[in-house]
Amino acid sequence: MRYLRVLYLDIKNLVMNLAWVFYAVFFPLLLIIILGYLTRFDYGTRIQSYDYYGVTLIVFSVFNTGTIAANSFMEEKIKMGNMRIVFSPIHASWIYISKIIASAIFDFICHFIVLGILVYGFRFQIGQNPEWLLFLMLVGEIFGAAVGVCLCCVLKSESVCNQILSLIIQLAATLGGVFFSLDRFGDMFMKLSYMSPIKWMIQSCFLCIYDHQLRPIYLCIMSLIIGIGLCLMICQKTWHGEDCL
Amino acid sequence: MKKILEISQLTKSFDKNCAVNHIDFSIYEGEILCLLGPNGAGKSTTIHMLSGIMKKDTGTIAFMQQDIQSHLRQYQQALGFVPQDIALYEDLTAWQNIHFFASLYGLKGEVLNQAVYDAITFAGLMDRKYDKVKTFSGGMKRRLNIACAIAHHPKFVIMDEPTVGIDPQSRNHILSSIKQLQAEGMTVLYTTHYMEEVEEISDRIIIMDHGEIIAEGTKEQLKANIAKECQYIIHIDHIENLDLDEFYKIAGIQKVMQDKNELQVTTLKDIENLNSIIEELMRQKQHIQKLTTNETNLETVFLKLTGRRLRDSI
Repeated sequence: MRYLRVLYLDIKNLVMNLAWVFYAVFFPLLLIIILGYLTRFDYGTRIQSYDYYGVTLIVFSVFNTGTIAANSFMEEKIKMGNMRIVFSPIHASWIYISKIIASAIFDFICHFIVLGILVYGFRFQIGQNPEWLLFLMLVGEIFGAAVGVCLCCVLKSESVCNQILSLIIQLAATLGGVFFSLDRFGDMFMKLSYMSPIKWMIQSCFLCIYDHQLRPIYLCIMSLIIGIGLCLMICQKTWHGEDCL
Repeated sequence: MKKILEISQLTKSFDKNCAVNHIDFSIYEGEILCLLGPNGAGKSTTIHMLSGIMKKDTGTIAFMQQDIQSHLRQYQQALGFVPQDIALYEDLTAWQNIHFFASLYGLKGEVLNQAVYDAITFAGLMDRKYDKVKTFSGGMKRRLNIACAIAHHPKFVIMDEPTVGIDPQSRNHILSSIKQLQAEGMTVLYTTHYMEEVEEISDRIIIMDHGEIIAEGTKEQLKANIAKECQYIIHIDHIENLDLDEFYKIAGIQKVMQDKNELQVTTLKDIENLNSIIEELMRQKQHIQKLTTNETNLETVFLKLTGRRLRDSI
């Protein structure tokens, strides 16, 4: 019960921060609407621009969960509260695990709202297996949050972590074809783009929605779960209660 | 008295710097023990190890005769820690803060609400209980910082400079609250840079420097150890042609210094020589305006032991 209280407060802290609500709901939604509108004539009738940017920008936002997680873990105001939790009879690891779960739940709900608005307002296609898309999104949120918290554990600084994280996500997003596909630049760029986990996730979503293939989604989910496990191992090795002092 | 915490051969080094060097001491049930020392003395490292959060290099810390690391959860359940920094959620109200932190110790339902009520009353914040912490003054935050640590009724409370940077009114409130905690049976380990606080609340004092304990005892014991000397401050009208060397002929005189119209005579306390000093002044035709005695206080004890004033060492 006491562990759930920490989790509940972590979620509450995120919900009470309007900047994060804007970042998680309105930022991707506005970006999808604007880019979708501007490029509406570049796409066909089967896949609209809103369909493309709906998938790519939500995946991009899913990976951005790391920024929110890093903030909820080590932001100055929160850090002070965390310090006191360390002295209580709660396992110290729960402090970062709770941040990962809270950020993932918060972002999942926010992105679910974005998805809902897109489906009902912009005829965004979700295919025949929306449950698997949602599950992938949830695992992706946990992975993003785990990466953010893991970097914080290693670097011991939220601001440095956010700088590095933002650089990594931007690079992965560009390679992954969030704003435009790199495939048109030739084979080399196409191969390069597969280095980005964002690309794997985007491809899996498209294959699930339009070709009803679930195998890529399974693989993607498995890879993300392995990634989460690795991040948690690094957190366990690098973060100690005394880091809060 | 029963020992509540027993520390033996405790050591901690950071790289090659030895922050705490094989210290031994005990804390007795129901006492207020003040830990003093200049910056870098090893106080914070010691209390962080006592909190169970910081790992020690060597030594043992036993709470109620049980090693704290092997019974960490039970120990933390019985421990209240007041950190030096304000460790609160600024966007929550005073009530919500105490409620949250007390709930981490397993309190729930009516017991939890009563504990929060008691703690907020203790902090004197009942009229502000539903206000967000970010609207509080520094003193109110400090009081709430303590309330959050004691709401679960710990047996043992560690307070790391809980009165830093607050107004005298809040300081007085905190000091009387600590006395109240003691009356309720809590044991308190208190660190501070304010000597007057130590004078007011301590039952026992430990002075640390360079990672070692250099003195330990009650106020009276510490003063008695140091107070072999006393100092007379004599104000004289227009000191002229004063021969200081003559004073050294008086038995027990250790040091004589002149500063403008003030004469400072340090002498052994056991030897009664005040009459001789006055006679010597009269013999040298000096007109005494005022005479005061500098009694040994904790500040002089600290100065003598560490070579620094406590406030200068911050």
